[in-house]
Amino acid sequence: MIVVAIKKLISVILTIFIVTTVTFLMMKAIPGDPFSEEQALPKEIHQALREHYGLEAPLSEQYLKYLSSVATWNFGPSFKHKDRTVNRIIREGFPISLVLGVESLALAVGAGILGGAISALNRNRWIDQTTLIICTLGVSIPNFAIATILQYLLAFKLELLPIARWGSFEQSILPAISLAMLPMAFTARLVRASMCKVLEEPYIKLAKAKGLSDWDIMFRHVLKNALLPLCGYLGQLTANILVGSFVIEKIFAIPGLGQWFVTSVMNRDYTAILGLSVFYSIILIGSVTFFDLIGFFLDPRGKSSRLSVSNSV
Amino acid sequence: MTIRFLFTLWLVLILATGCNPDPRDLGSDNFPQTVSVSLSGDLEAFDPRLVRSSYAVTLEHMLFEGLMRKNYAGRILPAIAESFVVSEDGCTYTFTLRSSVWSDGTPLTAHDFEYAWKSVLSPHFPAPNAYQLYVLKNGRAAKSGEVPLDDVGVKALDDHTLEVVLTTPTPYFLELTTTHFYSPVNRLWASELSEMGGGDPFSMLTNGPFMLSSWKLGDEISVVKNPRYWDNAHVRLDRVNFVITDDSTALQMFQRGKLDWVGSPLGFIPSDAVTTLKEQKKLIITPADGTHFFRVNTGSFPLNNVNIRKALAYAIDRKSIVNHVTQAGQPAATGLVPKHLGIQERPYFEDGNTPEAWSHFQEGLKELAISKDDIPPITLCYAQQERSHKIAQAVQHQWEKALGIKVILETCERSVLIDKLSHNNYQISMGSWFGDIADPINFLEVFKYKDTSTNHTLWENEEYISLLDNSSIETDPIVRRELLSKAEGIIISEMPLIPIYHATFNHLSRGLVGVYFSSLGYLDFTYAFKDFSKEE
Repeated sequence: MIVVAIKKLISVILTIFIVTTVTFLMMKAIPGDPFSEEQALPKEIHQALREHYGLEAPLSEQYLKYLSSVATWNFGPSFKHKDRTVNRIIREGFPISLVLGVESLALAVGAGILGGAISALNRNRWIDQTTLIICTLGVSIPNFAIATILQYLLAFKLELLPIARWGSFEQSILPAISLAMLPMAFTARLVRASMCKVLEEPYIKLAKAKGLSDWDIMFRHVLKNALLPLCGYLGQLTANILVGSFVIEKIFAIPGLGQWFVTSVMNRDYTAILGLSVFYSIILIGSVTFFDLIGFFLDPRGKSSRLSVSNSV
Repeated sequence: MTIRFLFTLWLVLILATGCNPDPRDLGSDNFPQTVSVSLSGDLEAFDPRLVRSSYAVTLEHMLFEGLMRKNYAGRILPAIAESFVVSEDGCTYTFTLRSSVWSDGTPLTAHDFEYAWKSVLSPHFPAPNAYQLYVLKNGRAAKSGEVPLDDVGVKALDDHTLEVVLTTPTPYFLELTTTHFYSPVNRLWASELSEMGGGDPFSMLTNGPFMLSSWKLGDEISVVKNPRYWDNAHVRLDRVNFVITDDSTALQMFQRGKLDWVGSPLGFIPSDAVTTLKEQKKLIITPADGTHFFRVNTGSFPLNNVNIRKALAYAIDRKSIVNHVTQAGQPAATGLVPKHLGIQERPYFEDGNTPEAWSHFQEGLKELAISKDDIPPITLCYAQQERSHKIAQAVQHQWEKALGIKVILETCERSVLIDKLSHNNYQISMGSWFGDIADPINFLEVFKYKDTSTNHTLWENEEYISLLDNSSIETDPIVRRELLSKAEGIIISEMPLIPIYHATFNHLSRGLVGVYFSSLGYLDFTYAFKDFSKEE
């Protein structure tokens, strides 16, 4: 077990190192810098700013500086927003995205499992077909379109919910629903497919023959096995939702972390880009590992799957 | 059992994730004179020496006050400076400051002005606006480190007297002193900052009509009345909230009464809503000190020929663009400088005159000794934006129809476009200029030298340069106006840029009286108040 943990730790460090390097190379490769704008600065001022912020130093020197900022987890001030450090941006934006993300996830997973299970149990009947249609809509309609429609109908026209901003539970409802639609649909389809497969298994028939109640079969046998594939999907999904969605946050004026991922690239805000990329990779690695572990515990095959967990990163 | 537990947990999670009352609902009854304004993007900093974005200018005018200020009618009036005298040669200004204090009660002195301006010109301070202070004697030399800061032409003779020495008699100097580029900063506070400037905005001392009350990153900036402002008796607003939202969301919030001002200058009215709002007579359109134009790379074939450039310029039907594409009351432009700045008496050419465009085109072809079929497709590039795309398509159609030239449209990201411009790697590019000061020189200098960082057209003209230089030392305003007018005539006759339209500001507001909306693109709330009888 210790060996597995150490191996994991090494691979995490290696991943972060690669992410830092690739991000650095890509940042330097794209044209533009944090100080270029249409109402251009005089050349000597532009040059002075670049020198002041260390952008004229040789690339290797800049690279080492970035590596050390990752190692010490101190990314320095944002190039664009000079009054604040990247650490502060993450510290203030992430909790908001996190809360919204957890809410959406809970909604998506809960409703998705429920919908998928009901579908699987009533295969090919009308409730299954309806769920299929809703899921298809959820997957095809982009979340910003859903968000805009919901905002216009429920908040603006009917005034049932607040239009935008963050702070109260009512303000979180519409963004959470918009974010949850796609994962909910996907989860439902995934659970339905996997449950259908499990329901065909001989041991389910045996359990029924033994006389176990439907509820017992469901909760003791079917669900555990059906949810296994979901863990793989959830690892990736959780990371994406937790760090915030740029578009949803923009539409609902939520001061989360999501907007920073896009605006920092547009502004060529190097320190912010680096800090956010590394932060996101850590969240991603963390959530994938977490759901791998859950999958490991859910899997009744025990030992044989331990091998597969240690091989997956 | 586990599943039931998980289900309950799930329900609890959903409900628990945000059961707190909205703190913003508290208190607005106690402060009726509260205004909420939509803001498109967060500020980069609050230190006036570090900010350049147009949003920041409004905030800076609320938090800081310089030597002079502008009133309702755009007239320059004394602010921190009570009075001033100008020497005979027009190069030395001596300002007498009134007694005023910083937000912590300590006196504001001439030394604060001297410190602020010198720090901006220091080679070690990353001030992007340093070039605005180059009119000061030795300003440029100090920034490049050639002379010590003590040689710069600003000196506090005593606590209330500031002597400013300029390199040449600059007719627009007083205009410059109304900008935030010339703001004072408290030298004790500033000297404690790290080398990078910036720092905690809440510890920053300010002297303007308002002071910073709260700043939630990416969410909202709140300012309240500054009780220590020297003219505090005339400030009627208690609080101004700048709410950071997306433009469409801002419009919806305005229509539901959550915002009192939406649109320019701190945001935009969504382009699809502009026509409807105009028809409903709700949209307020005001002139802006800005011009939208196309930059032409005069080094790229066939645009190196002036008649080809003129042909392209004359073939555009600007009237139809402003009436059908932009639709926000923008005046068609035949010059570079906005007409209300007063140097253009009549249009420089006739808009949409396709026969004349055709004849210039023929002449250009003759001079280049080529035929129409030898003209390669011309690329028009611009930053991805809905309105730019519509304008580009309109112009592409007009050029193809009038001259038979094939036009390729190319969009790219804003920073990529700027990079292309700086390497002259383009043929025609969409661009604009919004003035820093309300003086024609600010527009004409954009194209002054071939290697001016804002030029990018590879065009330069000696007479143009000397006219601009002479205008900057000319004290007679009528003579100066003629010099500037002549300069504009030259640049239009050579057409390194093709003017399209002059900008306007569009906004919606409710119940506000006394807001000074400068054509430079900032709001001044000093003497504004909410008139509740005007609210719908």
